[in-house]
Amino acid sequence: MLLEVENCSLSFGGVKALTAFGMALQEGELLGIIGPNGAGKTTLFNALTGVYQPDAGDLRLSGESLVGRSSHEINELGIARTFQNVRLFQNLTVEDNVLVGFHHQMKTSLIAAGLQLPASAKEEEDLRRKAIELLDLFGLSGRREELAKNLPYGDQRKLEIVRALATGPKLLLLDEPAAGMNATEKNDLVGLIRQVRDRFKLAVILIEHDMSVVMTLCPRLIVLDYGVVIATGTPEEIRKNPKVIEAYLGKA
Amino acid sequence: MTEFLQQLVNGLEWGSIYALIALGYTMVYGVLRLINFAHGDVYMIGAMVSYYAARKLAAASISMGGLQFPILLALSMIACAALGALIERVAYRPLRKAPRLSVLITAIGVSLLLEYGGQLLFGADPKFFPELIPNAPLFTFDGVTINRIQCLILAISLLLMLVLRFVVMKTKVGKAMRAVSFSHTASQFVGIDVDRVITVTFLIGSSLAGAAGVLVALANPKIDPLMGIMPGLKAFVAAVLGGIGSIPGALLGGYLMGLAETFVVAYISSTYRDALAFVLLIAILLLRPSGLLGKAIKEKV
Amino acid sequence: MALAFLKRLRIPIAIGALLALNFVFKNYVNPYVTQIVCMIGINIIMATSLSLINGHTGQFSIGHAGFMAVGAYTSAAITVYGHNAVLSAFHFLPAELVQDIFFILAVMAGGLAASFAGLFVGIPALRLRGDYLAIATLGFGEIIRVVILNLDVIGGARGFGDIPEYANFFWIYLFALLTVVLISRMVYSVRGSAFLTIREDEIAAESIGIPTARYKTIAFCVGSFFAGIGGGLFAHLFTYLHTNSFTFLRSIEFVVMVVLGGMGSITGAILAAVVLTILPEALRAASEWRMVVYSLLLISMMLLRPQGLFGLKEWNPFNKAKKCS
Repeated sequence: MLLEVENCSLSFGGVKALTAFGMALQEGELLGIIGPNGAGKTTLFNALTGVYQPDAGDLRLSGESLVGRSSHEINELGIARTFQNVRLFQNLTVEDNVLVGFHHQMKTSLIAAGLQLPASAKEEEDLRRKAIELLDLFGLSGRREELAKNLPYGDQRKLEIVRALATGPKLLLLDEPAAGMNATEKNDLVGLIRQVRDRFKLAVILIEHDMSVVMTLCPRLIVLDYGVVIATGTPEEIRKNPKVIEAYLGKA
Repeated sequence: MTEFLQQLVNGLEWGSIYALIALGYTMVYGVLRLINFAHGDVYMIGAMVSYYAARKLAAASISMGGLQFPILLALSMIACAALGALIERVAYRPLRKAPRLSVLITAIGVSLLLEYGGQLLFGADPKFFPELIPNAPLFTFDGVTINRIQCLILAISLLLMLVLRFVVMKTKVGKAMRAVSFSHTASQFVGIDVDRVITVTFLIGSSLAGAAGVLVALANPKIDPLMGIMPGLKAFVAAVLGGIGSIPGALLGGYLMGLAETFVVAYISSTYRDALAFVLLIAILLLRPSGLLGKAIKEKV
Repeated sequence: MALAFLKRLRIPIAIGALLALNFVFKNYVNPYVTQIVCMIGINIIMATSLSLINGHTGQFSIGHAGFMAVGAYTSAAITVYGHNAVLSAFHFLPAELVQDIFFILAVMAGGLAASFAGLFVGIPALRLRGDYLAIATLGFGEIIRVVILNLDVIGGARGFGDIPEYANFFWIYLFALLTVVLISRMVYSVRGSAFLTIREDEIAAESIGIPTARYKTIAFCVGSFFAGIGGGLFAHLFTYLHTNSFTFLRSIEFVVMVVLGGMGSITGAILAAVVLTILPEALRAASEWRMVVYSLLLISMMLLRPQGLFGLKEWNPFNKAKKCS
């Protein structure tokens, strides 16, 4: 079991963002999380990555509890994410955005870099190569010298995924990766995520509003509404579930 | 005991001054999230304006009877209000969307301009404010003396604070100020002219600083262009102490600051008078950065 | 071919050039001008070190003069109280050599002391953002100054004098060169890009495994270390120290250098340091106008070109690897 969430609750003041949330995820699984706006989906991601600490419950990655850990510690343990509103390093180049993702796996120190010791220079060369490989997968290596802020929106979202991959995670959390993409791009994205999952042996949790993307990609879905799980199952089951329909469309 | 009570009165005197200045800092921070470094210097301009006006009146041999002080007070308040609004319009408004550090630096620039421009304009040497009201004791009981001027300071400060509270709580403009403190965007959506509200905020805050300047000049007649630096800093610390952005906080912080300072000088040592402000600042920033009455804000991810 | 050969020898060439220039300044140039040139070198160190903290890591540090003071007074105390003992202990070596080594060690000790101050400021500062951080650093800078003012062993209110005049063009510019090279290499390395990510987006930085708290602290410590070095050189150039040289105004001058040059541009900071060292001297004739012009410069700069001279770019004709940001 890669990820276990047990009885997790989180509130902001009076707002109960997540209530007694629980789930389990195996290695290599592709899981989709859907639900109306404000359902608590991004809050779940924030809890998983240490941006917020849960008020109650436990979150475990490969048996290790994530509660109380800082975001960077959790990333070192193996969870990487993208953000609902793209949070790239705007004034850094595409390549640098990826390179910095390798940071916690680096062996040479800051001082070595300052003194430009040969070991440091060699490691940087290797990392540059790896970065280009990763960017190639997503078709971004041609633009690697450009500043991130100058990329079109769809490419920015892809770059964020590349950056997350650079950190060498076991679990990838994608927050609405298809937002702002056209039909072709969405198609490509689905293929890319599958490719990435196979090649890097990751599990992926996907928050998405675009049903075509999430239902094609994920064999299992969890539906959240007002911080509570209202349904889980295959895309077929979810599509027919009356509670889900009610949550999205309101009572008839 | 009498000593203690006396110091209490003295502390309240300076507390009133710090509170008046702190209100300006806190209101501007509330609507703009800007630390208006130049605010302490507006206080200095208040003192200077009334000084020169008093001299002009004396030179023209115009006697106003007992009205001289209120007229000078009003004059300074108006002049400072205008100055504050001018500064906002020229130096801060163009940078509304700029990164925070840029505005901070501009504010520092304005502060330096007022200080050194003041030295150029008024001369660096101290001036002596005329004795408009003799500083005779007004009340005495149990060995504790309250002077006329102390009384005046306390009374006028209280009056101004009550007026402010009325404006903020009961008037349309006050409500608009509170709305703008909460969110510029939301305020615009309900039809509030954010620019105008900000101007009004500066008008009010700066007039209070100007009033403080005149009051201090009455009590401590020696004034000079750099007189705003320390009180400005202390009032700022007071605002942070109370919770910057919170008006009751500014009042609480101001009086705490005045009292703390007076007691430190009386019972510990006068050399640490100025250092107290810095120590308090660091302490509050480390222990409770949102201040005594402030609220911590969480960033949305 | 020739270029590669020259590149190998760049260290001896640099040292040779510095020695030659030192000779020229010492013997052929007006001492007033020499002192200004030396002050430029020191300000380069100050601006570059602050650029690391403010420009690259995006922190709001406006108390940099405090770190300079710690370095200045520490190194001065060491040389003033120690030089007799050291010279007699090593009497069997040529005095010049002992002096030079002692001087370097004293300056480094000043840097180290300053970096402790940086740690002391940096760690609490982790909890503060933006304006609050700025005010806290301002407060710390003033506290440092007031503490020094009350320490009679280093002069107190009367100032600390009789500091041996060990600093000259060579030493100052050698340290300046080292400062610029070390800091720029650090910041433009992959490891060092962590600093930039903190400036750009802290939450995103944390999410990719950057220990932001650690790097902010490192920025403060390294920045203050070099500020301390600048302070040590300053002390041994002017041979007299008074806390009036390390006021909030001084800190602001450094902030202006970094902002004028462009936040995140070391070459910008260097250029701004040169301009802003010469400017007050040029205005010396109209000294009452000096601060007024200075403040007007500040305001108009922020209104007209807030990104500074270079914005986020570097200008480096020698090394193509140094790129934007």
